[in-house]
Amino acid sequence: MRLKSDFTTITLALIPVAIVINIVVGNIVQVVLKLPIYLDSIGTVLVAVLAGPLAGAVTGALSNIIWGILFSNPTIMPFAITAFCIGLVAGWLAGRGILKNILATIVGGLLTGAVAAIVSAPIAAYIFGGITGSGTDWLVAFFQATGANILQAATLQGLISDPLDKTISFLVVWIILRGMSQRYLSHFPRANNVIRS
Amino acid sequence: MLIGFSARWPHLPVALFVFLILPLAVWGQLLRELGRTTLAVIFPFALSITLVQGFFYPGATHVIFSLGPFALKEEGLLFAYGTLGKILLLAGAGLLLLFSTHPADLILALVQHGFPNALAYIVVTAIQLLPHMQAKAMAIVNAQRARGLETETNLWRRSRALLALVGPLVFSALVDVHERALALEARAFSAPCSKTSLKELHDTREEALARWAIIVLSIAFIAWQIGGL
Repeated sequence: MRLKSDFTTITLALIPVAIVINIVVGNIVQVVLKLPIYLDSIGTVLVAVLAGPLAGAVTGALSNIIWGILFSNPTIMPFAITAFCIGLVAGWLAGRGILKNILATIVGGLLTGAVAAIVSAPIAAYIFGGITGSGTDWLVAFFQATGANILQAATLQGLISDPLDKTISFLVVWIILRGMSQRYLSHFPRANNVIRS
Repeated sequence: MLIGFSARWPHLPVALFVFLILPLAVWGQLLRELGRTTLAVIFPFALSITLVQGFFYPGATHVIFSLGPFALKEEGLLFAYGTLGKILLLAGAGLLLLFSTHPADLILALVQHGFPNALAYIVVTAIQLLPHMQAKAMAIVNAQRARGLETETNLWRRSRALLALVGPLVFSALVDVHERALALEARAFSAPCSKTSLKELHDTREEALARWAIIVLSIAFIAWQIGGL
């Protein structure tokens, strides 16, 4: 980890904006467009790509905590652990150069989604009994009816919804990064992750 | 009490909610607010968990009544009750902290106990930025609707509307980032000296003692639980 060189002033300026992007985009997707995905980690992935895994992880974890504070809903705070891991994985993958190529970006989204599903399943299973209070709960019911236990059902539910969600997030980030000028991107500590030389 | 809260999962979370959280809420004159929000948070969980686990809990045998191929089972309902108790305690305790303590005070307390200053900046900025960004987001939604973007049709069209809404929002937010960084530098944000604060905390010795007592108690309880299993 390059702690000092990743957490520059521009990273610190970026993180709160990314947190708010997570929350506002997550809100638009669920409230305005009513799509069956969350899309609440675009900011996390963006920071992870531009400023390294640890900065991405901090962004993800703080997003969930602040979301819980501002919308008076402490039940999403335990999933800060998931968001932390999403940031780490996305940052590590970006360091491997996956955002220079659209196919690699899709693969990276699928991988991150699988990790997210595996991390959040125990949280959902042990704290919430496998339930998230949202539309994907019927999937949990379906898997339990076919004989899975709660942890298995929660994992399977995650493995269906998370990779799709994270792949779309990665693609949105890819499109956004294509749209930024190279001069602008070069201000960030891990600009080499995205600039094609 | 400011930050004296540690999570724990005892056998009787409902009892803890009734005999610890509620009296604290009455003491802090927050009962109405707390009650209303807790109910709002809990309700979707209650509905969903009773249905899912009541009917589909793995290995349940005691059928209470049947509805076609589905059957409501006793074990499932007991499990749903236990889990709901946990969520109730989590939501109640979390909301009690939120309603009794202004986020800025909490962050200041954390920074004074050794967390990095940057953390305070990030959290406070994000909290202040959110209303602006939400207003901007709604402006973008309305602007794109005015240009004929369909946000209330079938799934495929709504999916395609995503980029038209998210794109402008993220781009405009990112353009601000560089300016913010320059502004921070101009105000010596990364200067290696200690900072003073506008706000002051009153943290008495009794409160600090109570915090330590709660932490020790919780660890002892968890150890006892693990040892007892």
